[in-house]
Amino acid sequence: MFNQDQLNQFYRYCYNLTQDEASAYDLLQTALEKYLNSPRKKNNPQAFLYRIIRNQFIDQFRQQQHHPQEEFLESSYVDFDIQTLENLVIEEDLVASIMKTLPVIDREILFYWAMEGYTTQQVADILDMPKGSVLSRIYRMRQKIQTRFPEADDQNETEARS
Amino acid sequence: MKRPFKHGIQDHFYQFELNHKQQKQLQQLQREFDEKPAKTPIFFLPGIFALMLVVSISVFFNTSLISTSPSLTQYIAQEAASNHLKQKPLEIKTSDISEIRNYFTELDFLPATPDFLTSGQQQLLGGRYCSIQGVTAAQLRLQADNQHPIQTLYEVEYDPVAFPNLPRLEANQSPVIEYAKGIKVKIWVEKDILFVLTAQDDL
Repeated sequence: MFNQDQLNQFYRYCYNLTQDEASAYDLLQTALEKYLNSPRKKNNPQAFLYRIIRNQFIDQFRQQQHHPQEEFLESSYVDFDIQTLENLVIEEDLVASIMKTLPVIDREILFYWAMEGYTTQQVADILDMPKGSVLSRIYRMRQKIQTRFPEADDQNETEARS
Repeated sequence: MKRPFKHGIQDHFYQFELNHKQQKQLQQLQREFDEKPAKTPIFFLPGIFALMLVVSISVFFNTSLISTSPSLTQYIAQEAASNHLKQKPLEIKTSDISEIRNYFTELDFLPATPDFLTSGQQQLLGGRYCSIQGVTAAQLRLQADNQHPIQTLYEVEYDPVAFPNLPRLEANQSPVIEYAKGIKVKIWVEKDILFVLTAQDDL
């Protein structure tokens, strides 16, 4: 049985997908029912419910959108990883605006990174994407954030400059 | 004030929480399912004997039931029949299987045409994403002609661990047939894809 904290965490993931609190609750309730009805073995209940939520969301809310699999040139971003997002610093009140500008797949990556502490490979596994595509998305996401929100700084770059 | 992006994201998400009523509803939902197995030995004993009898008869007549988990196929049939009755709008309308393949880019397999479709009696109407037992699936609609009812064909990548002991057409095994919500549902594996078809009696 999932406890209060776990249910809240699933609810946040649903909100992250739907961007609407009522839809998030509907999504969580439907997914939880499917999970409870499923006779499949649940070695990792949390990951299994995340997957059901995601599939349910794809089924219900996102009929025409796609997650294109992007090519990733390993040589270009050889030192790049999800942890490089750790260096980014932003104004507190900008987060909501940033989240609104990002596509759902980028919001998912941020959720798993910030809220679950997953590695790039774990994020790739749960999103059914090649690791290279995840890295590519992170790279572009960071560029997009820094272009649209020049207030966002890279700590490492700032330190290097000074 | 500037702070690490990660902390900003965390604060952003922590402001969203289920209210007391929602928490209570979800806890209640879980409790209802938790209590179900406890009742099984006492209240469903006659059902268990009946099931044992059905299995024994199946073994005796060497039907396909001997190699199939009844509960799993029943769950699949329930889900397929529910989805079939909803008739949600198609995301792609086409009679061309190659267009279907191009559309379903988020699957780990290419949707295929089951052998019974190659006879040309059934025409493809289109498809949409859905899921079977939590696994992303392609849902295709078929119809012989306007006189015949629409049928729904589900295609899921076949995972023998998640869906054990289902009949394989390539091994000359017959599809499992289940009935759910008044609809006949056929379940089989072909070309490494799990197919689920809401079928009419004449099929």
